[in-house]
Amino acid sequence: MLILAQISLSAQTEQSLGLLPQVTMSRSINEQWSVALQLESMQRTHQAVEDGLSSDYLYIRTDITPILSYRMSSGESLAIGYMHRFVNGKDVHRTLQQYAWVQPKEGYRIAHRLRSDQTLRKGASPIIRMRYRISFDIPLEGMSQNTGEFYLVPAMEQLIIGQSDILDGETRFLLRLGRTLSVKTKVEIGLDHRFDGYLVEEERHRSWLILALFLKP
Amino acid sequence: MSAQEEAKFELEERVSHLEVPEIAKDSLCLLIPSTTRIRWYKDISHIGQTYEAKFKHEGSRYSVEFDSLGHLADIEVELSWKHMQASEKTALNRSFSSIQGFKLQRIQAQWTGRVIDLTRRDGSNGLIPKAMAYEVEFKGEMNERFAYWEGLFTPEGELLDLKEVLLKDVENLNLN
Repeated sequence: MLILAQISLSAQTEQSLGLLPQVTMSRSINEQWSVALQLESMQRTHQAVEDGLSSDYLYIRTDITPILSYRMSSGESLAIGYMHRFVNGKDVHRTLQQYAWVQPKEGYRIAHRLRSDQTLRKGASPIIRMRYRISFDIPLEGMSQNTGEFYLVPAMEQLIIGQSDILDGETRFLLRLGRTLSVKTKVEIGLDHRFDGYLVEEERHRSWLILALFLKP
Repeated sequence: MSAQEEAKFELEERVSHLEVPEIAKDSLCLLIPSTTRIRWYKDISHIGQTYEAKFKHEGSRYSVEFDSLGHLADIEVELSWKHMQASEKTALNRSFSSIQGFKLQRIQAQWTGRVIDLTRRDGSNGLIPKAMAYEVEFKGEMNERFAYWEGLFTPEGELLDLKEVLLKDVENLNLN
């Protein structure tokens, strides 16, 4: 079994729906360096059966990810992180490296993210992933985001996943509606649709309802 | 608000017009008459408190800032380079062409001074048409760094002030 062995409980599922709540806390150390801590939990709520969707709750995992970022210039940054995943009574470890850059445009921003990660779990071969994501940060009221205003973030991400000598791909489509509650707080709700297994003929479609909170304590 | 301003302000909150000093609202009526749907914000930073009015007027986005007592600080109007007059562009273009890799991101016309000096003298009220400066966000090489910059230019194209734009508030784009 190639992809995401850590969520093996849902690996046979072709289509599923679920919840993906996230909390991200970040803090600047100085102009260049910042740290962040992300908590994320994945829970399946429905699965596709022959005659439609069936309610089928399953707690899948919880991740905790500290990330250290370095700002290179105006819109460019480098980051490294470590994710500890609690899944099915077992621990999964992941290291990540990323280069991200943001382009301000008239009335919106384009964010690019190149990320690589390596997942390790006892008794399984390491999983190596290369990822690229493009996001659009679009204020819905005016030219920029202000307190109390809404914004939209459509995004697409492509992943190439390798484990042992098997290669697979995953494509993600995201659409999030956000609101800036204050300069230190943002909330987002949205949909994250993930399509994978298409290179190993074990296709999966999974859709997650994202509930995200961003804090700068 | 630009990224630079985001970095500058510690707190920005939306406020009711009832909280805004009357003198600020009167000045706004004089400078930009018949404006509707004004959004008021209170910006609190280490240097004090200001009020900011944001609105759209005749197709352009306006941002008018007042001090805590309601006295005018500045007026900024978002411009479209395409629709600017040739005479306005010529001097600015001369400066822009000397910047390696110059790419315009955003341009705003800026007025500062007393309300009486910025009001038309023909009795019709309204803002005098000639901008006093242009705030320009651009990408290019300055001070041996290729980055995003915010420059303040005179209408004659002279660079008065330059700051690097720090693109902040990107955690939801880069981290999750």
